Amino acid sequence: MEDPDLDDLLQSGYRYALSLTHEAARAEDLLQDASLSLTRKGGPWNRRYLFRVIRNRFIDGERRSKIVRFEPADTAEDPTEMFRYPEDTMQKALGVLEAEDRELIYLHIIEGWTARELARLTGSNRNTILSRIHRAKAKVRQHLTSTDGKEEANEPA
Amino acid sequence: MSLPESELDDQIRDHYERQTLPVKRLADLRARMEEERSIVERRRKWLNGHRLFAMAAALVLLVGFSLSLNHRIQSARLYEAVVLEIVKNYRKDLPIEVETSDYATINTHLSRLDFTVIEPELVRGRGFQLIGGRYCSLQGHLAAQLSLKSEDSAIATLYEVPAVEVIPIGPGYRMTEVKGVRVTLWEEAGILLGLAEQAQ
Repeated sequence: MEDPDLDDLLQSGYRYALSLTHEAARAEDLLQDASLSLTRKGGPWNRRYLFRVIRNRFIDGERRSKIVRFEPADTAEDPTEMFRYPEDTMQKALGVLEAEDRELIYLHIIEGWTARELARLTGSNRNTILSRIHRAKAKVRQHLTSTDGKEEANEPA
Repeated sequence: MSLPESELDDQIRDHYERQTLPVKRLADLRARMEEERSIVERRRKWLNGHRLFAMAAALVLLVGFSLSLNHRIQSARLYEAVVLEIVKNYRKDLPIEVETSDYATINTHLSRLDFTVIEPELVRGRGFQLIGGRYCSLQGHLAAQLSLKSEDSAIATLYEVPAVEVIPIGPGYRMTEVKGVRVTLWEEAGILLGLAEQAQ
């Protein structure tokens, strides 16, 4: 049955899952788990609730596999398994971040969550959130500029 | 060159907005969700149907149990009332209206009774001899009160009344002693019989 609103919601859920996992296959699995769980419960089908289920499932999965921090994508053993577009610069730059910071960046920039809402979500205070977002963006910027530098340096004269 | 804040945000936004769940995967997911929804729906319907059935069964059992309990309580109260009334009548020792050793004569004389007075097996077996009888009342119903004499000349009184009108006592003998009087109640040929005698 066609339902464009639900498709949009699922696409948003996928992007959010991607911000947590930084890996397409895992994001798809996470979205599927969360969506089926919500289906079994009978909803509610809204962005906040879907994100919450995705987040909880992600945290549960991390606890089970005892992975506390992600390795940056460029140091992983098989980068092609880690992301669909391993050569993408922004993708690599975001891969430098820890999952928690990438989530903050995603919710703040793409979903438009305020620092106060993020503080409530993560159980931190607002200033900590602002500081973490600032540091995360600085890391991404640094990675992007240093990559640019390397690429320029590698170009033949 | 340093990337301006707003441009960085735009690039991050562009990056994520380009990421989409492939159409095939989205369709698969929707199909799985629909399948899951049908399973949940079927399970819910099944549970609802069985829940109603279980509730109805529980209600029937509850009503049955309540009626049975109520019937038992009423029967116990009636039994107690009949015994006490027999003891009271026995103690009054009212004179007999017809003196006879023949049950047929009793039936002829006590013609207002709408049942036939019988000589019960227990009375016959214990060698009681009929002395006579009179009308009496048990729980408001017209009954026969028969005076009997045992082989050792002890006087006993037998009460007879249609069982269905007073209390169906069921099979077997029920014996109770109240203030030195032993009352045996039983049912025979549709008649409630109460034998009152001095307790040993």
